[in-house]
Amino acid sequence: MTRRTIVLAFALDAVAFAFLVFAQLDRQAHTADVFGVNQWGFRGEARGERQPGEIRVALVGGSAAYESATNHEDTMAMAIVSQLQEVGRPRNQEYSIVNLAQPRVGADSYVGTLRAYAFLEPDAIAVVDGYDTIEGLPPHAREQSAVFRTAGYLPILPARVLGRPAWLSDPDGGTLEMLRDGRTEPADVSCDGASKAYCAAMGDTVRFVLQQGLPIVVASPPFVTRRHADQQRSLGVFLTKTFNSDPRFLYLDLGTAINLTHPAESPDGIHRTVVGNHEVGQPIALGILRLMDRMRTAPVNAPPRGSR
Amino acid sequence: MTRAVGRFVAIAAVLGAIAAIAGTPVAGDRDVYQKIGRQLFVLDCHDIHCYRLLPAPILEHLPGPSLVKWRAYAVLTNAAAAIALGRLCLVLGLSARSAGIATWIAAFGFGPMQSVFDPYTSDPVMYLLAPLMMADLMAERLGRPTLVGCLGVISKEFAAAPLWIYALLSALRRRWDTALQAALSALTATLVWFALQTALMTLYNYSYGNNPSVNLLTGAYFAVWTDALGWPRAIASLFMAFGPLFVLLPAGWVRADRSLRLLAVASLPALAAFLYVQQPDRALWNFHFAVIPIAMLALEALPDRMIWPFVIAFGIANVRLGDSQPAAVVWLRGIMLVTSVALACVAVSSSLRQRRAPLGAEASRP
Repeated sequence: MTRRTIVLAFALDAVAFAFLVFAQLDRQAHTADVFGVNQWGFRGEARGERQPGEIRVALVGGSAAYESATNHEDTMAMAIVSQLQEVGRPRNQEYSIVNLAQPRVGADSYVGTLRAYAFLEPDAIAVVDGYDTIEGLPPHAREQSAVFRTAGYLPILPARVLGRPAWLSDPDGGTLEMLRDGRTEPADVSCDGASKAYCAAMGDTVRFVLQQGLPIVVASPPFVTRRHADQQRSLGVFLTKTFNSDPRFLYLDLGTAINLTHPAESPDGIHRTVVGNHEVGQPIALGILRLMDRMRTAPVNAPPRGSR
Repeated sequence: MTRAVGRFVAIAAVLGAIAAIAGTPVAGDRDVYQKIGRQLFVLDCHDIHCYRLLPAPILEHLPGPSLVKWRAYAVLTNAAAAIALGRLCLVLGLSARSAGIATWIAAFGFGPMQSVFDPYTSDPVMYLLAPLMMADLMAERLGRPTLVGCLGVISKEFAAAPLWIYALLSALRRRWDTALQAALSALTATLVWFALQTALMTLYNYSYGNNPSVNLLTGAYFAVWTDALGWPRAIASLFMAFGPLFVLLPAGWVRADRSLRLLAVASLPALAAFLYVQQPDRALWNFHFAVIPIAMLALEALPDRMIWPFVIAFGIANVRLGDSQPAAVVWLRGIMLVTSVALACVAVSSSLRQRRAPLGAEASRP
């Protein structure tokens, strides 16, 4: 081996070493941000293993479930798991939740999300859809990351170093244009009209989960406008009509569960406060418990789960 | 049947007999190794053993009871390791007689006996790889040890150590080109290890948990270990790692040639590092490939009628049959330790009286 070859090989090793150090720093960076996501690309603690008997709920959705402006501890996801743990405590039943939601994603991404995170082996699924989009992925959805698509790891340092927006940093779009009050076009925002593809995607999500043998709760977010209410109610009718015969399915209309004009429940008429999250999270938790009870009394054979 | 094969069979038979009568280890890392064996990747594993991916998946997928399979692995790998150590002694210029004795001493030392009793560990693989790699390196062959080191770190991080030791040895000899190439090999093996750690941490959420090994600024595993045992017991445990071989070392050092001495000196930084971050007595045995050949230079001064009692006493002093051993075994081990140390003293005395040319690696070179 010539000196030149040795020097070149050392340089390659140095580059590899620098890359690995960068990867380690990236992993450390994930744990430092309470508003950010973990190394697997979702909010909260990255935890694959479970305590014996622990029941894990996966929350899927868009901006309404992700809550980018809210500290993780104050989110609806944490309100749901708090309620579950309170019920489970006397029976020593452990519950946990993984919030797989991301901002501004459409319902057509939910099946992909559930597939990507099948290694977490959730026992129940809760879907709380958003109000700011009906289809597609925003520019900074985790699926746009080649590293995430390849390895299931979502890096965050490259964006910081390059001064680019982070993954899952797409701003909450507020109420979708077509759902705003005062709009007349499109005239029909229901599942028979402008929301046809959206409702079909929600139906696909429910079907996918039921095919896995898992219970699923679909909850409408609190209605932000009258047209949003029309859309969500038609979705409720569509899903109930399609899946109501399945004991593992439950639709919850939480459109009026809180008063979005009250400052204690919403700071801006769209997003929820901690109190608002508690009031929305409680019925979702109770819905999950209801389905789990149904599953216990009439168990359904689940197909084998995915693994990482 | 060649002599080496015969020795391998004989050593495996003796170690197998010890494994057969040894009790089931209660403490230890059985659960985590069985889990690695079943799953390979254990999500959220916070145990340092989870990074040691081999040989658990191979063993756990073989038919038969887990403990039997692991003990068979420990017996066969340690027997092979002993043969490899004997071969290394020949490469280092020791006589065939010394190499033969070294084989038996390597087979029944602290490390092999410990791993035969509690086989849920990657240690036997390291006991095998280190002398194999070092024999190639001392014969100035770098390719195969580099490959073995890069693969060996999947089993345990120590597999990179022989390459670093040889790089330093070459530097001490002022063979700069060889030192550079060896350092490159060592760095590459270390990078493979680092890449494995990083991949497992990022993709499977591994960590070192509460393992004190990573607390490098506060004494690492060494501080915790000495605190738990107290200094007198800690020193006794360290002595037990090589026992009478420690007594033989100074006299062996006097008779060793420059290369063998440099090998020992070059091993010191790695020895200090591993003593610091790993359980010190177990870490110590990893360096048997440097200790035993030097000790042999003193021991070979004894006649056969005294060497074989030494080997037997040395082996019995290291026997481990249970987490807490029967009182009779404890007494027997104590007596055998005293006997082997006494014989080592006789060997030292004889060795210092004999006037012989230095032995070692240089002597074997054309």
